[in-house]
Amino acid sequence: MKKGLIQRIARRIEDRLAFIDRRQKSLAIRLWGCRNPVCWLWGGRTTLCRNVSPLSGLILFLSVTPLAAQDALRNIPDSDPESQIEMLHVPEGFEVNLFASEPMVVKPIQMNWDAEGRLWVAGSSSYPQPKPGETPDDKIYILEDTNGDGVADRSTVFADGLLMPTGILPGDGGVYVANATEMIHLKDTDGDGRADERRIVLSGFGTADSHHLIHTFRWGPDGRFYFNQAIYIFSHVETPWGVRRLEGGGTWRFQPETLDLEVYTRGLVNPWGLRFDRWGEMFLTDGAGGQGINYAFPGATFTAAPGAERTLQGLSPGQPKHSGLEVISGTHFPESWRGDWITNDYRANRINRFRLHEEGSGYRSEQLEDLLWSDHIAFRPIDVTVGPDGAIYVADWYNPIIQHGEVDFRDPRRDQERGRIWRITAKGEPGSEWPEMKDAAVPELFGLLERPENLVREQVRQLLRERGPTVVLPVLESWISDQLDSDQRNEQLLLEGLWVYQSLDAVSEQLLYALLDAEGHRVRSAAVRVLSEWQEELEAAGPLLRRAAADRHPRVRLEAVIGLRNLQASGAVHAALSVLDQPMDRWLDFALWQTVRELTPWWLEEWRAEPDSYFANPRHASYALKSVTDPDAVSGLAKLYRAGLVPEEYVQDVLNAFASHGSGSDLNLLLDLALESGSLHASRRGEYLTALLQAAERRGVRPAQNPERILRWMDDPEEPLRSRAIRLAGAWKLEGIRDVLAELAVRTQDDLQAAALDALAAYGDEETAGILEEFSLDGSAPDLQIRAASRLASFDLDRVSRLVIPILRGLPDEADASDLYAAFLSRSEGTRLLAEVLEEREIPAVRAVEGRRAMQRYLPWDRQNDFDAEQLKRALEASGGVLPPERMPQDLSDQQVNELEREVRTVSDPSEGERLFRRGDMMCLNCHAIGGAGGLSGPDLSSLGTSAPTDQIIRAVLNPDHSVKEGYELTSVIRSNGQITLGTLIRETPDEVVLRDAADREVVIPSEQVESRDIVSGSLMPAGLTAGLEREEFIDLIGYLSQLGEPGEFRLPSETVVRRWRVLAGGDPLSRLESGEDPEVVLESVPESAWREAYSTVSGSLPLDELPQLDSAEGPYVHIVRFDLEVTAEGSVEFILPSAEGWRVLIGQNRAEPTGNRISANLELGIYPVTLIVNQQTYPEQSLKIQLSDESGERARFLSGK
Amino acid sequence: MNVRIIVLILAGFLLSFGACSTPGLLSEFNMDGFVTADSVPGFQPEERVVLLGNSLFENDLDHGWLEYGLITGWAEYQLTVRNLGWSGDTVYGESRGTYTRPPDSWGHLAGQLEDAEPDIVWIAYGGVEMAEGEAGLERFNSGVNRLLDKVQELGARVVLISPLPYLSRRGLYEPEPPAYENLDLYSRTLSEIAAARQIPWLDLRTPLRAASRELEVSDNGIHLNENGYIQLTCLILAGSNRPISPVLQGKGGFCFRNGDTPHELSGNVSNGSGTGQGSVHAGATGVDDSGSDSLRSLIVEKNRLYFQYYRPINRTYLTGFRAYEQGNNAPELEQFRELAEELDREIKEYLKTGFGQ
Repeated sequence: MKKGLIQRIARRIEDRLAFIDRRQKSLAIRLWGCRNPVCWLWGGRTTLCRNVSPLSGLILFLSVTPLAAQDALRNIPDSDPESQIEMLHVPEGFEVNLFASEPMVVKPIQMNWDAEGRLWVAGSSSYPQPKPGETPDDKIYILEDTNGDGVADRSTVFADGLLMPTGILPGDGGVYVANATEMIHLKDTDGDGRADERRIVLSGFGTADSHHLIHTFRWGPDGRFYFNQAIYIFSHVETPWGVRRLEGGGTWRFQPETLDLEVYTRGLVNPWGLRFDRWGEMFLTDGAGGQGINYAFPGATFTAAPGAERTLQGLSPGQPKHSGLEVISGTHFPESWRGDWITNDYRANRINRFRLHEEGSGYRSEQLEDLLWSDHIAFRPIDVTVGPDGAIYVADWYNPIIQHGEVDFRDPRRDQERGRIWRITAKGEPGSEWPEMKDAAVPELFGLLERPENLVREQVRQLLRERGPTVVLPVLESWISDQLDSDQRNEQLLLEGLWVYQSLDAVSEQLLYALLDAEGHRVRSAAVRVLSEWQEELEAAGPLLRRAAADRHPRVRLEAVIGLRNLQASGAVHAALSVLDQPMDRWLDFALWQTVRELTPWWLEEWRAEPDSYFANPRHASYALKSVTDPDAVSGLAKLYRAGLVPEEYVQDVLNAFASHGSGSDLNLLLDLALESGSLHASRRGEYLTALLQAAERRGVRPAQNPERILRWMDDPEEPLRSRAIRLAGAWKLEGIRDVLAELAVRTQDDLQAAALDALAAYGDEETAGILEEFSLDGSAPDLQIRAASRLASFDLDRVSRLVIPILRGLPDEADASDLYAAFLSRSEGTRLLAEVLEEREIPAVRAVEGRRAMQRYLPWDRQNDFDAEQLKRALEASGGVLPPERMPQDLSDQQVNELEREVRTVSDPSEGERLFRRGDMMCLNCHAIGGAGGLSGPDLSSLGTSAPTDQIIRAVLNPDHSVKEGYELTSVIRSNGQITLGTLIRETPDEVVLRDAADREVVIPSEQVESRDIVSGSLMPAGLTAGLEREEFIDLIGYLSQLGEPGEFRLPSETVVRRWRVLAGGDPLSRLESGEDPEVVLESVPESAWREAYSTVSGSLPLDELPQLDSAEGPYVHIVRFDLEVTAEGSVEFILPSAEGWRVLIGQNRAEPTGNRISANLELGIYPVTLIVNQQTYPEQSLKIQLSDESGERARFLSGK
Repeated sequence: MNVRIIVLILAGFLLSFGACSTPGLLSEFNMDGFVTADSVPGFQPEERVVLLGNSLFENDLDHGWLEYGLITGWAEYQLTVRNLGWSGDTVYGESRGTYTRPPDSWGHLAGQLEDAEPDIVWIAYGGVEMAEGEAGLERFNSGVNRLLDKVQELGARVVLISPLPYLSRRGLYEPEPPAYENLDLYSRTLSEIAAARQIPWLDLRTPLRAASRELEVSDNGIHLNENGYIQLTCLILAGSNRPISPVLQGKGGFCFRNGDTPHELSGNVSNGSGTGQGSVHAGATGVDDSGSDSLRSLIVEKNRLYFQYYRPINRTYLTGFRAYEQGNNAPELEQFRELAEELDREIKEYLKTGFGQ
């Protein structure tokens, strides 16, 4: 009966689908992205799909349908593994072979080995989206190479019927599998090689994005289970210890025995690779970020972490997106490769290699030659692992397109049936031997912990954990005491023993104490991490952590700082702060900040009781107080600052604390100090006024006593100081000076005028409204009219809407009223009000056109076509507001996009495109970086061409709102006064929301002004940026973008080159150079404002013809450029220029003497501005390219970013 | 196999099961206040029952026992069931939020509920909220009331269900996890709201605590396993004096009614306006065939389809803020819903013709 029933269901489903098909035929045509029923059937129905191979489907598709929204099908490579392997290239001395392919394994995602040396692979054909009418049937494969020839000869389907298994991990007598919302455990209880028992271990994981589902399952050395999830995944997991929520990316840590589940790290857009090194340090890669390998200690918080106030950077910003991560260990690969890290640049079809060098308490990464590269665009390495034989195994998802949102889920080019596992070996080197361990006795297993292969030790630890404490502990104890008694203690081995204790939930004080005194700092720091976990069981935990915080190595101190936050006791904060007595670095600083904050309940009250003596010294006190968000702490800081006890490097943080939390009397101090003349404080006057201004604008707080003292700078000759004073006068609403401000507004221009008008607007009352209204009227200068009216809009929009018609009518044609439009459009009611007044009265056509442009620029995507916007558009059109035709039409049909795509392929000149991309007026680099250098408000585009099909790039440029990357979603904040701010969220704290706006500025919005805060559709990138280009230029630009990351000249080279420059662009230094002063003398006094940013081309050079030319005593055509060099380990640093002639160099203030085309210098730690003076008459090259020598890569790097 | 024979075998098995050492299996059932849908709200033919709550409902998606119990126990009503349980959820819909807002979490919850077109909503919340203790009680209270207002606004009736007690197995997490200190506090709040609004109130604490002492109703102490759902279903049916036909049997456990065996268990069903009698038998191991598998496989499949409709993979791209990328595939979600409805019809068909055969 059962069988009959299931058949009946199947038939019903078929019938039902057929019915739906008929009804939704028109819908379905859209669904499958083509207009021909044959191709629709091919794409949409399993039954047919199974009988027709995708290739023949494709041919059908090609022959009968026009290409609708499809990228060039030439991109579909030959899928034969024999032909694919021809296109996989490895360095000299290595070779690749096919370990397994379909049907032995289909669509592999993650793979992990078991103790018998078998490879477990999770594969998913239903990815990226289950189809109605099909029952997902994803599988777990076990691949075995039984005869040791390096090729899998047995494939067992251990389990099927799964839904997108994105994580897999053998253990506990079966295998753990990620199955959409659940983590399940599958077990074969009857030994037939197939799972027959299924248990839900955890559930409630989010599925809002299939490429972010929980993934990459990994046993940690501590016997805990680690795994990742990514940005759109919102998980809500019920455990006996409470519900655990993670809304966004991060790494989970889990103990299967107790169901303890915790968030271990937060952030990264798509944390993907997850591995531990030999000392138990965790590293992550990001499949959607771009900072290379990330060093992840407990509590580490990275980019895109929800609500994070502060984040850590990866070890190499500017890298492409990476999936998977492995560290080479064992004896098969050459010694020079061991310890190197490999991770997949799946977009560019290659496997990158990095070497990590210790740097302070963290690491620095150096990129080395790739392990593998390919032109086969369906080669998609997504997981990588060293196998039992020491070879490297690569899971090749095999797909011509990347499985992501930009390309239709039902795009027929999505491969759903292939998959490969490749194996990379060193030619002629013997493979490692895999020890028998499954049935080995416990002492034998301990012996195996000495093996150099990470995989062996991992498996052994896991076996020991599974055998359980009763069996293992007695043997372990005697083994450890033998080891401890040995003359030649093997610390590394003892550390393995410590982890075995940890994984068995047992404590060994003796072993722990021995390792806390280990010689090797990495063993010591690993021991401190265990100590911090065992602290409830150890009486001496506090003193031991205190001692570790004073360790001679920064990594040990880092672990101590992390451990101390769990001590949750009075005094813990002192121990943590003691790390300030030794050198700090960015990881220590992050961890200490986090610890001090987490310990707040255990120290803040005690400090309040005895504020002067609570901390050991002013440095500790300053650090602690600036780390918390408490008004009393700011008062404490004020006291320290007044006494001159705040260390120089904390001053900016302290001023920020004043701005964010300072009370009126704290702010008084800043005003007092600003008034002191002839002291250190005089030089900081500007910074003080800025902090005061922030406090006033964000919180409405002003100094408690005599704020009118600010007026003395109202006429200061130093303009920045003067404008801040003017703004403060308004922000503090000082009485009796409105006429002064009004007069200033009339008398001055530019920034001062803006300051005066802002100051007036800050009063926001009837009186100033009158003044601003008067300025708005005919009779004032047009600039003043517009500026005054837009200020008035900030508090009295109704009033401005009555004035707007006369203003717009009265302005001379050449005036620019876009600010006035912006004032309306950036307020929630503004568009409607403006439309209402414009509907009734006409305005000059030139103004109406301006209005249309302003709508394009200032109205976010989701409001461009709403009712009010349509009304306004109509009203403007009625006044002649019709936009002239674009040179490059922006609204294209599918067919037009396809035509463009074909032209891009055939006639574009990518080099010309790169020049366009770099052109200042295109503003591309204002928001986008290449190789980490450039603007930050949009994604780095270095590998765009490898991830997005050309048609997609065209659409993204024409319509940016339809192509927003993860991590660049728009946050819209509406303030209580109706003002709307759009930007990408940088951070959100209890006090403020910080956005990066379209101008790449950080906008701080105090929480109390936030009326609503939503994440909305759309992009920061305005539409129509390319409207002014000729069609040919547009094609070149797209040609360049689509080549980015592809093999050839538009792929980032692996050497380290200068990518961010500052170029001397003019100003006073220019005239001094012209009058014959020595450039080196002049440079000493060049203000920051004289420099402008410039960035290298993809290939890493700076074209000289794009630079301003300066005349100097040396003659014409001198370029002066600068870059920042960070020295991270003392010693000789060398960099190389293309030529030995025609340039001079200053490192910091000092002239450096070159040897040929090389410069080397012995440098201490620090950041050095390096200045080059290039004489174009004697310098023979067309561009500058500065490369760090290979050896220097270990101790220096060039700073990048905006 | 004849059902009567199975029952006899079971009865015999139970005798030797060791349950004799206690005063009778599940004998501590306190059915006071264990009010069921039948006794107060009643069902109308063709009504839609929506199960809304946390993992108490979600975890049954793979088994379908609760739904099986409802539609077979009240077979003549031809009910349709939608399970909207969501792990970790609260009365504020905290598990239902998405990367973007609006709508916020509550907006999602309200939207999903409305979309399911309920006639009766069984609400099981509080198990997550109770971790907040005394301090969270007020917020819980107002959240429950808002939810009830929402249901009322939709014109549907409600049954309120208490959180699960700690389902301790011997040796697992002793003492019990701290959140359970607040179990009674939160249950009392719910029962008071139920009394004030004259809503049926289903208190699972005592009966399931008793069941968990004798039977493996949970693998982790906090969630019911398949046997747990069988027992819960039995309790509901027996408490409502509804048939258990022929025997509920699944992985790890079974349950049937037999008023004449020495291990007869009974409890009172009361909501203040009427009482009923019910009796159940329960065990911890299985028999061959219960006749429920075919129907449950339909239920489970229907749940899977509906799940992909209301809580789909790739929601961000299909209906969320990146719908501009994959929104053209959103009609597939409708197809999932329609397929689920097709199975609803199949299930009703089965109830008419296939059940018990």
